[in-house]
Amino acid sequence: MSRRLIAGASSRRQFLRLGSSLLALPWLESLAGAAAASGPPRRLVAICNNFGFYAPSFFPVDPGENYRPSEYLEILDDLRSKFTVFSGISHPDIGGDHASEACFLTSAKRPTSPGFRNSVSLDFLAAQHVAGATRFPMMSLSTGDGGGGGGLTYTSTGASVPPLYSPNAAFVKMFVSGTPKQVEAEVHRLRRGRSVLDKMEGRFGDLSQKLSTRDRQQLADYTEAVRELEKQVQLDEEWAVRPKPVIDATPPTDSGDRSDTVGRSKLMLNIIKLALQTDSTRVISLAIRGQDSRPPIDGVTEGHHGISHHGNDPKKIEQLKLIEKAELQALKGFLTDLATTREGDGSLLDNTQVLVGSNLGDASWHGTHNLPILLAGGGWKHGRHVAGDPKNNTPLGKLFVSMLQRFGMETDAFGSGSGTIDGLV
Amino acid sequence: MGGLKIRFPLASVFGLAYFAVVPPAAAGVPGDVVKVVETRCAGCHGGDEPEAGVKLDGTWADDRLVSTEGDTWFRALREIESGRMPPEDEEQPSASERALVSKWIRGDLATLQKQHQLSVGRAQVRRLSRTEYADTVFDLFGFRPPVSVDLPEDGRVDGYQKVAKALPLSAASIDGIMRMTDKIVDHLLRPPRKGSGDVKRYESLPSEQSAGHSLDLKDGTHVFFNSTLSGMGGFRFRAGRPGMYRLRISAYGYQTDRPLPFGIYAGHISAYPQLVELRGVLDAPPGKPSVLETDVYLSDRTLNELAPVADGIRLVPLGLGEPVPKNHLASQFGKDKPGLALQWIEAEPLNSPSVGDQWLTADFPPALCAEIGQPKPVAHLRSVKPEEFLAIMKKTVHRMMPRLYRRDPSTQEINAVMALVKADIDAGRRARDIVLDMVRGLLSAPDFFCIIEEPGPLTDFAIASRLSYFLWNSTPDEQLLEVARKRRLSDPLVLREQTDRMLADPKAKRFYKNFAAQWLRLDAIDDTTPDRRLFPEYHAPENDLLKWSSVAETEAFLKRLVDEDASVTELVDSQRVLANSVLARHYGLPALEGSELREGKLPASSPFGGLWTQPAVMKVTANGTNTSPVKRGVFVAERLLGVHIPPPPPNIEPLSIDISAATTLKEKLSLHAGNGSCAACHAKFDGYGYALESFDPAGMFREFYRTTTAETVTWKGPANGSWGASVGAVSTDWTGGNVPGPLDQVAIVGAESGTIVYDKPLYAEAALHDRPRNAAAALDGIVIGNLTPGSVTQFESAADFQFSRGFRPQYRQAVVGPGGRWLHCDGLVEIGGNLLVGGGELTLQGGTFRVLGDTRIGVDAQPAVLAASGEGRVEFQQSFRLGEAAVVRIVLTEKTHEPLIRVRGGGGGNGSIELGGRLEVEFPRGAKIGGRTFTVFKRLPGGKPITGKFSSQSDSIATVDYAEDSVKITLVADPKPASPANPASTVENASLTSVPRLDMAGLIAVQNRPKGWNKHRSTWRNHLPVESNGSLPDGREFAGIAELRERLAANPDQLAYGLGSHLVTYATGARPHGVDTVALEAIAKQAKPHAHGVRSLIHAVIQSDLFRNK
Repeated sequence: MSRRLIAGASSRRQFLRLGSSLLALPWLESLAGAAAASGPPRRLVAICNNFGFYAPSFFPVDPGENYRPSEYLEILDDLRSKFTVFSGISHPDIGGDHASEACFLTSAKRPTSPGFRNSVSLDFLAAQHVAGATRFPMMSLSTGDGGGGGGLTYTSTGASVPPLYSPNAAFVKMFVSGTPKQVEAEVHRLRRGRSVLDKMEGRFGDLSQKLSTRDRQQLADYTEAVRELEKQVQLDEEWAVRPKPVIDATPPTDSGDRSDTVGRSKLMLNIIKLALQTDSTRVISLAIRGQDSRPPIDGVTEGHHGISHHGNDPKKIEQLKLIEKAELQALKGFLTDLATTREGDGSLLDNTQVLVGSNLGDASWHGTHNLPILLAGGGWKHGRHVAGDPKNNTPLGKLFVSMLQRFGMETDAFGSGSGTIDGLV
Repeated sequence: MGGLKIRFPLASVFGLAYFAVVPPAAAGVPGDVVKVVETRCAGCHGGDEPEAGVKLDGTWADDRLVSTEGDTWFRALREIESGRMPPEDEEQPSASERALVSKWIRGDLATLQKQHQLSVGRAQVRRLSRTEYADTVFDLFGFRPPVSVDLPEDGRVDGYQKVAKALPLSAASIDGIMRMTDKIVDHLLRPPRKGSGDVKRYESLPSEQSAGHSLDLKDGTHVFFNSTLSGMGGFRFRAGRPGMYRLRISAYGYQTDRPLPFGIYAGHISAYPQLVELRGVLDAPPGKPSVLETDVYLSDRTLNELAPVADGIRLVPLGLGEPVPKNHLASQFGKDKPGLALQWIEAEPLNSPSVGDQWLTADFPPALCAEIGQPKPVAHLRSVKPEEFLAIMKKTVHRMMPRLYRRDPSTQEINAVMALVKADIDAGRRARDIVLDMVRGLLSAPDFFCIIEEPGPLTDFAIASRLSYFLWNSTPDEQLLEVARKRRLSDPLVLREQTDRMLADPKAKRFYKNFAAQWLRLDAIDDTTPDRRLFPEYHAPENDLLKWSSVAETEAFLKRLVDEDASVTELVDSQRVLANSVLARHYGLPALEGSELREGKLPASSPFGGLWTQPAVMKVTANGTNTSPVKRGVFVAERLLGVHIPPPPPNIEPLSIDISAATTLKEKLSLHAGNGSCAACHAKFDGYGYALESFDPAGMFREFYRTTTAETVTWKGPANGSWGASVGAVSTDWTGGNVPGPLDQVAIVGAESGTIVYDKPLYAEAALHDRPRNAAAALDGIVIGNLTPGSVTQFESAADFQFSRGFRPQYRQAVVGPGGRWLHCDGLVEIGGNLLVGGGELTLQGGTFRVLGDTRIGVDAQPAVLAASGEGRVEFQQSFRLGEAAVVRIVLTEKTHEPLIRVRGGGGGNGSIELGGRLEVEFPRGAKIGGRTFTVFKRLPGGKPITGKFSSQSDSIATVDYAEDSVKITLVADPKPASPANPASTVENASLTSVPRLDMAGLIAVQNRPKGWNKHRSTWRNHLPVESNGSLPDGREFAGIAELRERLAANPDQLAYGLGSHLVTYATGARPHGVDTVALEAIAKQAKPHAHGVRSLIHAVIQSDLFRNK
């Protein structure tokens, strides 16, 4: 472990930031209960590539088990038996443009309409189910930075959870222990926080007596947030004094190059692997955010955003493919890592459902139909192309229901989808 | 107030009396209105699937009439009153029927909705947005908290971040607020570090990358030639305390006679790539060191949003491109180019002691200040007695709470705070901790970080708060609070006075910035980049300031409208612009220098004018890297005219605009939106969008869409090779902008002579090539075919035929046959092999002509001319031979400092000139022509250096003619060496046969994007013409942007309504709907007597009930 991280100024800063992104949630199951649960833990990872994948290169043509891999799936063909590819699937009534990012894991309708209120995201819901079992109930990650664009996670009141942008900070939170003095200071901060929150909750309560009926919904949401944080602070206090897992890995160095989306994705995917391996958390989402600037990939001369609006210009599509292939290569590396890490009788991948997709089906025109969706791992029978109707899409929420059930939750609806998806067993 | 008072005589602002006097509204829709609606409207707008989703139902009771469903009546109002509804082909209601419905909506229904609003409020309680929180803390404490690090991103409703729905609070946001609170408190009462308040001077440093990036002058000045962050030198300066700093910069523009703009970047300057932000732009005066002064905000490590480091400074010249390559000597590449010369900077911290500390300790006696300010705080309170301290704290809390809560706190609230303070004192805590915990408690109260308003007419304090978050994006100052405390804001005159005072304050710039960011979405300026190949102008190095300037322009334009109370019509129609060097170029104005915005006047014929065609607005309304008439049309309808356009049904596939396809945009759009309900709605805005298609994604005016897609069209001449007829056709087609479809690749085959005239810029590449049979594989640009004897290829002007700068078409060989003419005007042409002017004429009026192989001019005593004039230049890498009858004529102008002819040793060999004909050099008398101009002659065998005076060589005869205004030097070959043994003549004899011939008689092809593309090269071609005509929602047609501008400007009421509705949303946190639209008409009407002045409109908004009631 590098000395800089333990003793250095930045590590303290990162340590103190603990909690805001690795959100802790209500303690629904006791630790003992979780440990007693039989079999290896179930896990869920959701990844959204916000500029999508160029559809003609992504989707295979023929359905079923004997599909011929598309240009992109050729890259993942070694893992063919480990994933299912879906087509003709999307959240209904999304519309909008890049705002649809906010709905990828929530399925809330019409994000650009004035009265829009988001709903709970797949990862947040799953995290609530297993809260308390691990140090971090979930992780929300993003390859972007604070300047623009958040993560994929939304709370039950539809508020966004700020993602963690720094792989280094995530590493530090998971594996680098503070000095006793730092731990003490953190515990003190958390205790002080509890009394502040008490007062805040009281004040919101007073206000809802005084203000109008229209304000009450908003105040109820605000109060709910305070309560959530109170529980989190309590949990944080308990975890703050417990030792962190010791691993044989060096902390990653963050990439300062915001245009290097693929490089940043690789760092984050590695963090995800470490988090799952050490059972630091069981639910992770990752927003892979393309940027407007030119990514450092040979042969790419324009900004990624510009290229994604290719307007069917073959030269742009050519460059777009270079970027997206690099992204898929990174995902391949990640899935292969999970598939080759043994756990119980199987692999880490067998116990981890990995959803890979995008909120855009056609980035060039902001189309939100026919989303590119892959599901890997999680013990499903894979190796198929589950082909939906491109004109009349299957609600993606159905797949989420299947995933949540596999995750151990009793539910038969998610957002705009009800019932499980056909073709996945 | 007038309009509203008349309409709602009882909806005045005098407190709760309101409720007592409002008459009870009629229950439900009155019977006579129901009757009209059922006979005239319900046919279409009734039932389960009403037309356009608009349902008018007479059975609704009051509770539904006040819900959002009830708003439908107000949407209908406009249609009914304007006569647009019922549609023409339906039976029309009588005037009295119309009046009946309209009277009810404007009367009882309006009252009902108004009453409902007063009981529940239009706006909802909300937290401060990120920027509001940061600005508030800055105004109170003098430094900015890292909101973008600690708070989740704000949402948007209709673009606005000041609306409750956009500002949800999650556990994470509260956690963030608590963290920021800790950080703020950590920065209070900090013992000053020794010398931290001093002004220090920091000398300029050379580039931290490899030496040679900067030109290091002897006096310690460093000159930077590249407009790029990497390779820049810096200063050892790092910000100490966070806050404003006064920078004094000693700098100047080097090797330039114009002011040189440079950017002040701050942030993590030692990261690679650097994590920095542009905090300001200044102009370095040319020539002489000058000291410039400016104030910038700088952060320390813990509050920095860019990276956890203290801000450093980088000063970067703008608009220069990157003339100095990496690892090369700046002294060599920058030798005659402008650069930014940096000497030193001084940084004076202005927030020391901090605004926050001064505020906090205003009531503290010096001894207490000293005690608290100890580097290691003393363990117990010492300097004052506990009772005294309690009294001091009470005074402090009394003073601070009103500013933090933006109202006077209740005794109970003060007591609660003081109880904690007392408990702390009793517990013997340190004075400093007690003070800081008091502040921490106040900052974490919802009363600080939320906007809380009680239903009904607002209290004076709540009005003060609205006013200051509207105009300052921040908390009220002491003066405003004092006015509110005296309950004087209910007085319209006082409110107006305060509004004017606040608009005059420098903090009002936050209004222009944030309102432009949300109303126009200017904050999306960085989201897209126009395509490099389609819009190379946008990416030209000299335009790097365009984006920054364009945002500054729009904000400054808004400010000017407010300052001058100028008419809202200037949003769409104004000849005045604010421009600097780049914007002047963008608008086609006479050249301006420097970055500062100055007022200019557009020519009457300009397509630009008004805010709506400003480059920043055009850029953010572009759709990715293309434009969409739909998106811009909706922008005009919603943002300028205040017409709400419902979002399209979500399951409609978006329009895929492939402009390389042959169908026009209009055809596509009508296919897309041509049917029923789509068409009805699209008619409300598509027209505006078509007019704005006249501007590309970078905001440049255009008449054609550009494309980069190559296509080939071939004209084949008659087999026997005369191309007269074909060329005639080509000539006709290519002039007048009437490009025959795709112009990327055009081949003219089978002709021998002709003239091709281009009158449109044609960016092209050129290559003469020797494999015409395999055209598809080999055509690589413009092929100037075999200019066989008798053929003429003439490119007439720079504008007509442009070889882009920095681009190197490789002519394998070029031949100008007898009688052939080739006029070259601009750019660089590089001939890879031989150039043979075999009896024709090659004229250069500009640009550079570089020949890598042999050059022969004149064959077989045929007259051959190589003429260069103006700034045209010829460079010969190898040998240069003149035939007997050849003439090389060079006309120098005063501007010419470079040699017009230069012979270099290429490929290891030495260049040489062998003269067979005449070399004429002509230049104006008195022109400053140094030795370098004549370097060519130094290479002459036996030639002597010529400096100032021409001297001949042994085998040539020179004459020097002094004309009245020019000097002409003629160099004629000595007849003696021109023997058959002379290579100059022997080679020429064999020349024509040794050049591979093209099989086709004439071949011209232009294709974009050959190999070896470089980024400054242009490859677009004009494609389909822009169709900027359209029709207004009422069906009136207009011919283009100018006519639409006239039509829109003719309706200032509508523009005032539009801007008013957005000001209301921004100012009150609630978007107007239902009865508010009636109130908005009244607001617009109030601005009317003031020529619809924008400032008057702001006053009308602030004086309105929409603003003064919750």
